Amino acid sequence: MTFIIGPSGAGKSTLLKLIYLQMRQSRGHITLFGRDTSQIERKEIPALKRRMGIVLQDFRLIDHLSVFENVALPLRVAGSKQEDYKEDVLGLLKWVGLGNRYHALPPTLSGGEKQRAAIARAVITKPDILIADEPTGNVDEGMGRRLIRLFSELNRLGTTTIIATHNTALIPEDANTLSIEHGQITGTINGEQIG
Amino acid sequence: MVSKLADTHIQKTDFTAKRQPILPYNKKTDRPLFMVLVILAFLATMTLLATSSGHRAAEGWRSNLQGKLTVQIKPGQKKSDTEFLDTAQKAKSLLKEFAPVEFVTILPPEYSQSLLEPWLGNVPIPDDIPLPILLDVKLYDGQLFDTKKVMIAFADAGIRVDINDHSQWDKQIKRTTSAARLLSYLALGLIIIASIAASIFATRAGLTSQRRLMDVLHQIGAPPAYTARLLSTRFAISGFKAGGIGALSALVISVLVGSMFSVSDGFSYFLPGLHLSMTDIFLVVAVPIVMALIIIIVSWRTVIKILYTEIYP
Repeated sequence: MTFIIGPSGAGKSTLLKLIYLQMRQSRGHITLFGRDTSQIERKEIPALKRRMGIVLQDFRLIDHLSVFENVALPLRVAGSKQEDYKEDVLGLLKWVGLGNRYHALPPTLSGGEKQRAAIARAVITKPDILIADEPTGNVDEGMGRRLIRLFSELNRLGTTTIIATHNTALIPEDANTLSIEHGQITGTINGEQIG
Repeated sequence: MVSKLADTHIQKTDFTAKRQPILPYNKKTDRPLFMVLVILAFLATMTLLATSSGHRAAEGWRSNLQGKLTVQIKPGQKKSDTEFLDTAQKAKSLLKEFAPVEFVTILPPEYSQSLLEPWLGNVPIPDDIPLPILLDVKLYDGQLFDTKKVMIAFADAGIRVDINDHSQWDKQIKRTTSAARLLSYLALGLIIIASIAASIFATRAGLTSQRRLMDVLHQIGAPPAYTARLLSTRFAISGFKAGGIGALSALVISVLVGSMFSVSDGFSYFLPGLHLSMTDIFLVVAVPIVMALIIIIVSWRTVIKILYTEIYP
């Protein structure tokens, strides 16, 4: 699990956008799944995105779809039938603490519930990489710590996790950290070395 | 990973959630397009029905005119009724010598008199008013009649005649129907352009109002074709329904107007009446289908173009 830290405007979100192919770099190299991202064609992007889970600060839940349907959306888009993914989605919702809220619409959820629903949607397809941009930005500290524990658990289960945050207090001691300022990497801390 | 997680946490749930459409119905953006499409479909159907009906009437007129001609024996040479009728018989015999002529009918003097009724009224015609004798000539189908040659033959026989082969009328009807057809194609072209413009506008409005959904679909790796299919299918269904309502409205109004203004023989005064044929029914059915096809193609292309320029890097 890697944290990208830095003040607002340092370039954390931009770096993440470059990784999850929302933007293209004008120079330099980013290697994603063994490929230089500048060489990836537009038509290949959807398939690569399906190998990544993305969690953003504004949750990006669809208001007219229930929590269940929001979380199941990537599977539905991939053409899976509801009966095939129903148990997986419900199981995941229970795991993130939304087992009894599967039928709720996003506008009725709290900030923490929305963020957990967004995380569940990001991991429902078992992505190789989980990218989160300020995932604790809209929740209180207690919920922030619970979310970070959730990410740690996902990482422990085998998902590469990259999290951008300006809240360094939430970073576990054993995590890898990359600090950025004005678009430049200013330091790295290897969690395992510290731990 | 998720399966492992799920296995440890799944309990039987009374799950009855019904799948909602990914793209919600948005009355604010959908309704104006729907109304515009109803109006366009109505106009397109009316244009098609009017063109079809006009074409049919013109063909009817032309088929009545073709293969027939009228020979008028001028009254100046009249000496007596008997002599005049003899001249008519001679003219009939002369005409029958020409190959294209199938049969000749000498129309009775009452017929010539009836032609004057609109001007003189239904009164006895004085004997001193010279009336021509008319010969109705029917030609074999597809045979050409050489008017000049026949005129020369009549001149040689000392009979002064006028021959009306209706070619002027035929040409005029042909020209008028061609012009009407051209105008209706122009109107249809404009309606199609308006439908395309409305579809582009509605697709753009739909994309703007559903921008968050588009971003989420892009974020979770939905291919542009999937997103385009969501929007274009929605618009095509809407276009089909609107086209159906517009086309049916036009059909009903055509039938009502046709029956209200029909005088006799299917004619509305001097205009052809609006009669429905199988072609008309086919046109009415085709309008919503064509409209849906236009919309699906246009909205698909618009969505793909916008996705690639605004969402995909």
